[in-house]
Amino acid sequence: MNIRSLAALLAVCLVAASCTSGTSGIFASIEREQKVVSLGGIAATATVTSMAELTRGSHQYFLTGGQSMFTRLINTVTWNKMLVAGSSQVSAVGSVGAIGNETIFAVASNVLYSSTDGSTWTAVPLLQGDIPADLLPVRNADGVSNDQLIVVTYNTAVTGQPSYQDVYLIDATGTVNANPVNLLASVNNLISPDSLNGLSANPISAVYTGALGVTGSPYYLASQNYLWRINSTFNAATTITVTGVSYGYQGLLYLSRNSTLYLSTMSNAGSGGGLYLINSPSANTLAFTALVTNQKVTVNPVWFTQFLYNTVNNSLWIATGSSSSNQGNGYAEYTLSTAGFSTTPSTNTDNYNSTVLPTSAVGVLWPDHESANWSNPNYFLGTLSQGLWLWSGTGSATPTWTQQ
Amino acid sequence: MKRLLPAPLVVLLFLVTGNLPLSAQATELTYDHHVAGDRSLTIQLGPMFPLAFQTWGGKTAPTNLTIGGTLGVDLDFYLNDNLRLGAGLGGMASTGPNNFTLFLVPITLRATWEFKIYPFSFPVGLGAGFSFTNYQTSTSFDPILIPTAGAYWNVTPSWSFGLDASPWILFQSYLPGGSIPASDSRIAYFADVTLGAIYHF
Repeated sequence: MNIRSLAALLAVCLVAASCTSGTSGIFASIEREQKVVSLGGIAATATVTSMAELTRGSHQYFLTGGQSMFTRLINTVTWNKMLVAGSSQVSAVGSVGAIGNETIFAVASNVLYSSTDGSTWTAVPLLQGDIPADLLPVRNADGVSNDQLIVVTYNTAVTGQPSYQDVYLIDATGTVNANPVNLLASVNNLISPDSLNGLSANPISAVYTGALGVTGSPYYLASQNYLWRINSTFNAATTITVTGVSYGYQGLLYLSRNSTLYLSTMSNAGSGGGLYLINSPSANTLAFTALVTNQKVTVNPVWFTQFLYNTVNNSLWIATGSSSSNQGNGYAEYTLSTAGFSTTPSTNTDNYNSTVLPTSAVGVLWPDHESANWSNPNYFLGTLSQGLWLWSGTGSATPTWTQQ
Repeated sequence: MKRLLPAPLVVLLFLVTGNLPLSAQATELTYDHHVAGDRSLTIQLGPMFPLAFQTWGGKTAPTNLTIGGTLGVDLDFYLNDNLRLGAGLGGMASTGPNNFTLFLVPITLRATWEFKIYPFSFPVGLGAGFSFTNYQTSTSFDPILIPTAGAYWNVTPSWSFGLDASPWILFQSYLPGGSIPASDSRIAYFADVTLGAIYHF
């Protein structure tokens, strides 16, 4: 900037308004700033892996990270470490049900527990040998709710090694289906069970293609190497054969407004991850179409790539990951129109390299369903090694994240 | 600065010292009087109290800031015995809820009127200018007003020591349609109470 430009800038400032670098007013942002609370020195640096809410009695948040669970009441800042049925090893938490009527589930020390008040936990029986490993939120149409959960289990009975096998559906009433779907059986004719060990077959995202509270539509599950469709009664799984994208499946999102299934990938034949769509999915062999070719999305590695449909801004957030080429990323945001999502990140709301998130932060995004304000909910962003972040959904079109 | 001996003091001096040795009579009693061109350099140091943020609609909110500190330097030129004009450079630091530091660096033009009751002076002035404002990664350039009132003891013709109290009023306004929403416009109120030293030269 030369002297004349500087002088012109100062002159404009003199007669018009403040000149501020950044996306929000300094004093306004200080006014909104909330104190960061260290979650016992653990969760502040933990990789937040799951989150749930419970509004029966009083509104509580629950989150897990570092094999511990923390809880706090809404509008409070203090997180407390919580035991589940006497166990401190809590690996996953999730909730189902409508506002004020939820049931919360947690996986603690290889046992699935349920609770309606957050303090009394009851063990949930599963089939013999099934060990619960994870709870997946099942996003309903348009991704605004996850009032169902999928319990991912593994079983060592088949090969002597942990092999992911059964998935259970917990419906909105908190009922766990008695007959889980055996994912292993659905791919037996494709690959030997031994190669299903580890993350390659671990479902990491789930989606329901029906409307909120309406049954009759199929579910989709994605793992690194497999994409499954489970029928509407949740008793049979089909492995989807895909063309164009062979592996690295991560996040799933279904939008009813354009009957489109979206899939993000971590990698594909060494070309990096991306965002793909399947228009009107129905066949067993699906052709994915690359929706986003922006380099920001296709860099590796992408971990916990998941979607959140942000009802405030009508936009799609994709939690991306740190990458070798860009360490400051957090998530990418795309504007939604009636035709679907834009193919490039929103100009003013691309938070991929935002300074509001710490370096190497990567997220799993949760909307605060139960804040009883659907037009202005809270949004939570779980990160790798940076704890939990919250945006109140107010103040600016660009989210202002505060570490919790 | 000129050092004049007012007539009553001369008479009093003569009456009191008439029988004293000549060397004693040379004791100099002075009266501070400033003329155009005299200069003063003021250094101030003290705590800064964040008071409130206010929207342009009048709604106020706490600042979320801790009590900070301020340091300032003013260079003034006397136009006559009571009025001086000059410029000031200040600095202030205060921390937010998460220990990020807010920095304000105002640069102001200042007019000061000194009420005098020997050996004290009571400067009252107004500074207006702009402040560089920095918090985390954001920097802004904001209009600022700093009215000041103080009380000083003129210890020697060259040095005065005293107190100042100054509200700082910053205007951070954003126009509709800009990259920063107009709803983020604020008027920020701070106040400092400083110990000051003035060097006259």
